[in-house]
Parts: sequence; structure tokens; C-alpha cells
Amino acid sequence: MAQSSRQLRRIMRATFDRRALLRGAAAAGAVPLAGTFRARGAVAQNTDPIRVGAIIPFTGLETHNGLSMQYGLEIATGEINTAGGLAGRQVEVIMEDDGSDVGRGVRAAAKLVGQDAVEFLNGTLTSSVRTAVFEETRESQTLFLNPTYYEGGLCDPYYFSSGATPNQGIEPMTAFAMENLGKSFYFVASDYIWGTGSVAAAIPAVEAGGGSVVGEEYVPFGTSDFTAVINRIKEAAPDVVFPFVAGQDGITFLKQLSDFGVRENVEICADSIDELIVPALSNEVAAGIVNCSCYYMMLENDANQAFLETMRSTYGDDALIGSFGMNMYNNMKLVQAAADGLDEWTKDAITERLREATFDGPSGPLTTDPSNQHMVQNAYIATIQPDKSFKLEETIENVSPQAGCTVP
Amino acid sequence: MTSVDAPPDAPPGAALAKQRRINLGWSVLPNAVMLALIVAFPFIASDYQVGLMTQFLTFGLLAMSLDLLGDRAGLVSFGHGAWFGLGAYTLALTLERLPGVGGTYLGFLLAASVGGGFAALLGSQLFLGRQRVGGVYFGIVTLAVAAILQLVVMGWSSFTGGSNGLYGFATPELAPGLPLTGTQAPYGLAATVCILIYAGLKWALRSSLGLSLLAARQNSLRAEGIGIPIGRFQLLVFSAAGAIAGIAGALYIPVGFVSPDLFGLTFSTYVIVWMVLGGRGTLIGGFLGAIGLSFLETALSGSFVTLWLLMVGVLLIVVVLVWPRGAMGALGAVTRAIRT
Amino acid sequence: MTATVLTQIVNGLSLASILILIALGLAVIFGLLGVINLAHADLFMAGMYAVVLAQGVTGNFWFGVLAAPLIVGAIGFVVELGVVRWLRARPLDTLLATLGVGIVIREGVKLLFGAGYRQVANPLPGSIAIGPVAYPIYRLLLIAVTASILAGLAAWLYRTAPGLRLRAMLQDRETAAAYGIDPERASLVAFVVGAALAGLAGALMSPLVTVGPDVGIIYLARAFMVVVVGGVGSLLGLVGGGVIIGGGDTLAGYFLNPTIANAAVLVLAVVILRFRPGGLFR
Repeated sequence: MAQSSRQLRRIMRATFDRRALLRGAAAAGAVPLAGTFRARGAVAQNTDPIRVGAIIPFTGLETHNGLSMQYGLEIATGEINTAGGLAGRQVEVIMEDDGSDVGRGVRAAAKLVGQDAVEFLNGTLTSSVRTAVFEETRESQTLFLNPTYYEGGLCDPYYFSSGATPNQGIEPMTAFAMENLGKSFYFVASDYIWGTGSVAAAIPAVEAGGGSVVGEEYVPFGTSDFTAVINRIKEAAPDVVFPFVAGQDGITFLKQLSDFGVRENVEICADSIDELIVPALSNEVAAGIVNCSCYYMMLENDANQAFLETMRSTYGDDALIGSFGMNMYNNMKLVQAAADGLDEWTKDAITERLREATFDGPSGPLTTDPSNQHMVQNAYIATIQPDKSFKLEETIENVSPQAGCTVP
Repeated sequence: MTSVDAPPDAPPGAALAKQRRINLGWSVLPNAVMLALIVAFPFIASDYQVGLMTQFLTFGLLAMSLDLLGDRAGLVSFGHGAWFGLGAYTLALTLERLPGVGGTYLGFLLAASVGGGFAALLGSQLFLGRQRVGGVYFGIVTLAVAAILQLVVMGWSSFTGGSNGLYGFATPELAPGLPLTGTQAPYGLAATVCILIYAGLKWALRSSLGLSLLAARQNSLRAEGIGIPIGRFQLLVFSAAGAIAGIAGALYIPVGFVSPDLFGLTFSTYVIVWMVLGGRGTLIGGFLGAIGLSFLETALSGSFVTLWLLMVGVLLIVVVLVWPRGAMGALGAVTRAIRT
Repeated sequence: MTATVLTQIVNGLSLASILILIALGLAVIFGLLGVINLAHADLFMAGMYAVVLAQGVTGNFWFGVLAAPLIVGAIGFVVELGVVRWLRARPLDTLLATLGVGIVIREGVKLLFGAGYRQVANPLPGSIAIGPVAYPIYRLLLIAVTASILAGLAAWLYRTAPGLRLRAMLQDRETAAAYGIDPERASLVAFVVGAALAGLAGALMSPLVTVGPDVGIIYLARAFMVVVVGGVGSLLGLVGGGVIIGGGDTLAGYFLNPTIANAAVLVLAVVILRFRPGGLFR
């Protein structure tokens, strides 16, 4: 119930943007896009707020992540504006729903860039949406910051990612698992970029560590019955199952693994099960899962405590945030760090400074790796306890990102 | 239940027969206004809006073809988006192999043929048998067929790009030096094709064949009695609707990517919503519904999200219950009221 | 080898019972009223949230199973009176209107409960040994529950007065009305029962799958297939459809990769529909 009233409040707050409409009308005819930008900048530079476009899945497959991403984004925006904004200008956020759908994601990006004339984009969750938006921003040379861990492979001078690369999540996880859980692995993944890309990164990591892969399997979206998969897992008898099954299918998979008693002999490790997912799992299903992530709510550092306090006082005590939400926050704070001491906001000045930006926040220290513009960051391995809390097992500090590409 | 065909349920089509008698001015005027708006749009709107409008025109064309299917064959497809997807993938795959002007025209031709051909193939199985598979069963079959196509597209990644979709195929070119890039050229093409198809359909539906189709749909028992081959009529309309949907999908290609989402239930549901809210049995209703609702969604979805979908759901119920002819029906009622 | 075969048989049985359970409400409404209820998937999902609600209040899963048919039946009551009743002469419009009803239920649940996933624990963890195979207790229970619901439904339809009235109305509405059967009331009963069964199915399935506002939709196509493959209007047909689709899925899932298996079962269903549009079992 609390959530519904919050959502209503958010809806009330977000009023229709009159100025955007006017500008849309003024930019009539065949005025090229870039021209519109520049004209604006020249007329009114230091008074207009800096517009930030956020692409968030509020509906569709990844709906459950929407609010968390909104929290991170809004808290950062509040902090930045209180501290005087970016290069002296206040920040105004425009959020768009991508419906977890590629077409809508691209339209959202087009609207934010083309109509709202945002200075940069922050967001996207599913890999399909991110890849499509990336194609757009690369062409239009729009600054784009990604919050979501993913399979890597996207590099562009105007693209930054605080989302972890495979070696920041998958590799530490497999290494830890081989040391503590067992050496033979079975991978089950959603049949799309994130799933296939993650398995492609995990297999060499396992083999390099002397482990073995006894099975890999790809399931389509909307799979609700995993009995056939589970039978094959039982026959293969691995030590560890490492799932990359997205969204609701992933939860169904975990539930059914437990039902069929697979958990008695097989450990589960993951890179996608954080405090946001755990409410969907019963204690029996959740307990014992080992997960690697670049952020948990349970991290004990001052910045995190302060952040959680703000979040809970703003959105209620039951508000949750996962790594995507935290990275929406981190992305904004990295931009703030880059804008620090800057007299005038220009895309190139900010981009230049983002390449050297650092931010030490709730998820630990972040530093841009200038070669691929992903973040050097910590990886945290935690085990879920019988009461569904996360217990920190190991912190691997300052892991350099291997994005599988370099910025041209 | 002896027949699996839906009874010829109520409304719209009947309007058309009467329309012939309506005085010329009133039927020309709205079309002229529409035409003027479409032509003027690129000159009064921003580049962003023109780009958006291009996509929405293709959605409009898709909704128009679904309306054709409903009005003249009494069939509602719950997987109509799949035909749009077929057209889009066909052009994208053609351009991947054969860039340039030749590939563009070949791709459009193939998109129409694949859309129409697949509908003809499916239709020949459904409508020409001893027992026609119509009504709600047709809805279920199309739902399943779209799901199958989506699974094929996602599973056959070496050919279709799998769940990632296709990127980076060559830009279509209408003539040497006239690529479909930016916003103006794609808009011009989409608008022209929409107008031509709309005019063509209007003409075809007023021909004697079109009116027989209407008669067959409105009273299938009697029509069958006087020897009108309903199954073949349905096959004809379904094939035409499939071909138009395929063309609409091909027109979507300047967006620069295609993804399996086009085959999903969500997209097909949207098409139905556009058609119903816009107004069934008018051709133009679905077209305008698609454009209007898509624009509204883009404008509001950032702020409204859940409430927006809730409103769409409520509207859908209310319109079906109280105003089965949708927005166009309401508009028609208003103009009639003014005239009398 | 025997163990594997046995496992597959029990898997097939389990999946068939699950599919029958999910399709029951759809079949009742389609069979008795000739109405395709596109809100079925969302009524099913609402049943899951009835468990979430009841479990939250009482802490007990089984209260949810009791509450779900009541709550979802009540939703069905409103939908029949407010929407379906008025569209009797327009079956295609019923499809469109129930599509809208589904959207309203889905977004309504999001407003009330939030968009996140909810937890429903397995109330009966553990397995029972069937020969060499250990099988989850709860899934075995579901097979029994589905069988009992089917038996109860058959008894109600074929052995009680309200059931007789419903079947009379199905055969000939006017004549039934002439004999003093109130068709409006009979339709209402049928729709409410169908909705309640959808809710019950959602409640019973909630321990096995993800509970969230958008989950219903993935069961919709499958439930349709079960209903139409077996044949509309007969419980036996429903069982047949469930066994064919469930068995086919298990078999295909064992030999093929999951994507192809999914597609293969759908193709099978379409082919059956093409040659026996009335269903296999009538």
C-alpha cells in the first residue's frame, strides 16, 4: 500500500513539461538536431537547468527494478542540487519508461535527446535495450551512462558504464566457487545477449581455474517449467549451478531447483541475486546461495549508511535498492565529480573529465578506466543466510574492468 | 456448437454501404484535412517528432490492415504484429545481403510477398477446409502462430540475430543518392505509401467485390446460400491484410534495427487497442488510433506509467461496451448531428 | 533407465495436471458461455496475490488457497455483471473487452501491491519416493487436487440442479428460458465459477513459479492450447488437451532444446486445430 501512494505522489510530481513542447514547436521544420542544441546553449547558458534523461523499465519484464533505479537517480539528483548543481546549474531529471522493450527504449532515447534535449542519458536495464540505445547514442554522439552489469562489448568515447563487466562479477564468483563450493559447473541462461554473453565469459574463467563445465543450456523468455532442465542437471551432477536466467524466469528456476531437491547436492552461485530479488524467494530457497555483486545494502560503510537513511526517510522503511539503482546514483555522482570546478557545462568538457573521474560512495571506490570507460570497482561475494540477510564473504578490491573492447 | 465461426456480430461495416449515399462534401472534407496534415507535418514539427511520426505511420498502416481483416472478413488476429515483424525482418535481411537501391526494392517486394504469402498459406489451411476455422478460433491460432514465429526468430540466431535482433544492415535507398536516412525521406516514403494504400483500399472496398465481401461478412449464412464462397473471401482479405502489414513492417526499417519484440503478444495487443479505440470498420480509425495513442503514450509514459496502462484498459472496456465504433464513430455521430 | 522413464512419466503427469489446473477456469467459461476470457491470465495472477494477501495477514499459505477463489470469484462477479453480460451477442467484442479487463486487473495489482515480485514458500517441501524416483510432495499433491477438482466439477455439472440448468442453457438458451431457467443467472454462475477456478489455480501454482503482476501472460497461450486442442465444452477434452500438451512438452523438452520444444508443441496445437477445429475429444 505504501508503494502505491508513493507511486501516486511521483505521478503527481511529474507534471507535463511545457517548455519542452514549446521548444519542440520552435524547432519546427528542417532545423538539424545539433543546431537546435547549440542555439539553445548560446542563448541561455547559465540559467537553464541541466536536463538528464533516464531510461528505466517501469513496466514489462523488468518492472521490479524500476523503483530502485528511480530511488538512486532521485537521491543523487537531490544531493547534487543541494550542493549547487552541475557547473552552477541545477539538475532536472526526465524519466522515461522503456517497458523492457527495445522499440520503446529507442523511442524513449529519441524523445529524451530529440525533444527534451537532455545533456546525457542515464539508465537502461535489459541488454537488448542498452545495445539498441547505444547504437543511437553512438550515432548522435550523446553522452550515455549505463548502470547495469552486463556482458560487455560496448565502447565509445561518449559511453561510460558503472555496470560491472563479466570479469568484475562472473570471474570473481567462479574463482570463489571453485575454491569453496566445487569444481564442476552447470550453466543455465536466458537465450539472449546477457545470458549467452555471460556464459561465454564464464566458461573460460572456469576452465582457466582448473574447473570443468558439465553442461550449458539456454531457455527462452517466459519459461515457467524447468523440469526438463532440472532432470538434465541431475544427470550431469555438477557441484555448482550458475544461473543467468533473467527476471521472473530466474526466480521460477530457483524455486523449482529447490522443489526437486537439487539443492541437497548442488550449490548455487550467481551474479544477479541481490537484496531486490530476495523478497521473491522463500527462506529455504534463498538460504545458501552465494552471489557476487558490486553493491549490497548490507555493506558497512558510512556513505552507504547515509544513503540508506536518506532512501528510507524519503521512500519508506521498506524501500529496497539493488546494484542497478545504486549505479544510477553512482553515475550521477561521477558526473558531479567530473563537473566539479567546471565553469561551463559542455559535453566534451564533461566527457573529458569523466575519463578521469572517481567517486567513493556506498558501493566503495569507483574510478574510470580510461581505456574502455568502464569503472574500476570492488566485487563483493556474499552468502544468503537462513533469514535471507546477506553475509559478506570476501571483498575483491579495485577490479579493473575488462569490457572486451577499447574506446577508439 | 455446430459452427466454429463467430456469428456475424454487430457493428461497423454497415456504415460503409450507407456512406455511398452521403453527400460528397462530407466524405471528402475529412480526407482533405487529413491529407493536408500529413503533408504539412514535416514543416510544422520538430525533427524528433517527424522521426516519431514515421514510426507511428507504420503502426497506423498495421492497424489499418487489421481493421480491414475485421471489417471484411470478420476476423480478429491476436498476432498481427507478427506480420509486421515478418516484413521488417525480410527487408532487413535483404539489405544485409544486397545493399543499395536494388536490395531496397527487392526487399519491399519480398516483405509484401512474405507477409501476404504467409497469410495466404495459413489462410488456405484455415478457411478452405471442410470446417472453417474462424471467429475466436482464428484469434487463438494467430496468437499461437505469432508465438511460434517469435520462438523461431529467437532460436535461429545465426540467421535472425536471435533475441538481440538485427543491427547495422545497409540503409535502404530509394534511388542512387536518395538514402532513407534522417527523418524527411523515411517520413515522405511512409506517408506516401500510407496514402496510396488507404486510397487503394477505399476504392477496392467500394467495388463490387468489396461490397460482396461486406455482404458475406454481415450475413454469412445467406451469403453462403446464394453461393458466395466465404472461405475464399476470407483468404483473400487475410492475404491482403498480411501483405499490407508486411509493407508496414518494411517501412519501419529506417529506424535502424529490428527485434523479436515485434512478434510479441504485447505489440499485437497494442495493434488491437489502436484499432478498437480509433474506431473499427473505418480503416482510418485504426490508423488515427495508432498515431494518436502512440503520441499520447510517448508524451505521458514518463509521468504516468502504471496509470497510463490502467487508463488504456478502462478505455478499451468502455469503448467496446458503449461505443463499439470508437473515436471515429463518435466523430461520425457528431458530424451527422451537425448536418441534421 | 527405468528410473529416467518413470521420472519422465511423472513429469508429464505433473505438467499435464498443472496445465489442466491453469486451463480449468478458461474451459468452464468458454465451454458454458462460449466466451473467450482474455482476462483469464490476470485472474490467475490475482489468485496468486490473494495468497500473498492472506499469507501476509494470517501467515498461512492454505488460507490463501481458500481466499483466492472467493476473492477472484468476486472479481468475476463484477466483470460478468459489468462487462460480459452486455456483449452476449458480440463474441469478438467480448474478447476485446476482457483484454481490457485483464489490463485493468494487472495494473490495479501494481498500484495496490507494487511492481516487485512476491514470495510464496512451498508449503510442503520435500519429496516422496515413487519406486526409484523421489518426487516433490507438493507436485504430487497438485495432481491429486486437479483430479479432485475435475471430479467435483463433473459432479456439479452432471449431478446437481444448477449444473443441469447450466447445461440446458448451453444447449438451447431460449428453450431453457421457456422452462423457467433464468439464463442471466446461469451465465453469472458459470462466469463466477470460471473466475474462481482461475484464482484457485493461481493460488495453487504460486509456490511453484514467480509471483508478480506480469506473470499471468506467459500461461495464457498455453492454457488456450489445452482448451482448444481437447475440445470445448467437455471436461474429458480438457484432460485430453492437458495430457497432449503436457506430455508433448515433457517429451520434446527431454529430447530438444527448450526453445525448439516450445515451438514444436505450439505447432502441434495449431495443426490439431486445423484438422479438428472442434477439438480432438468430441
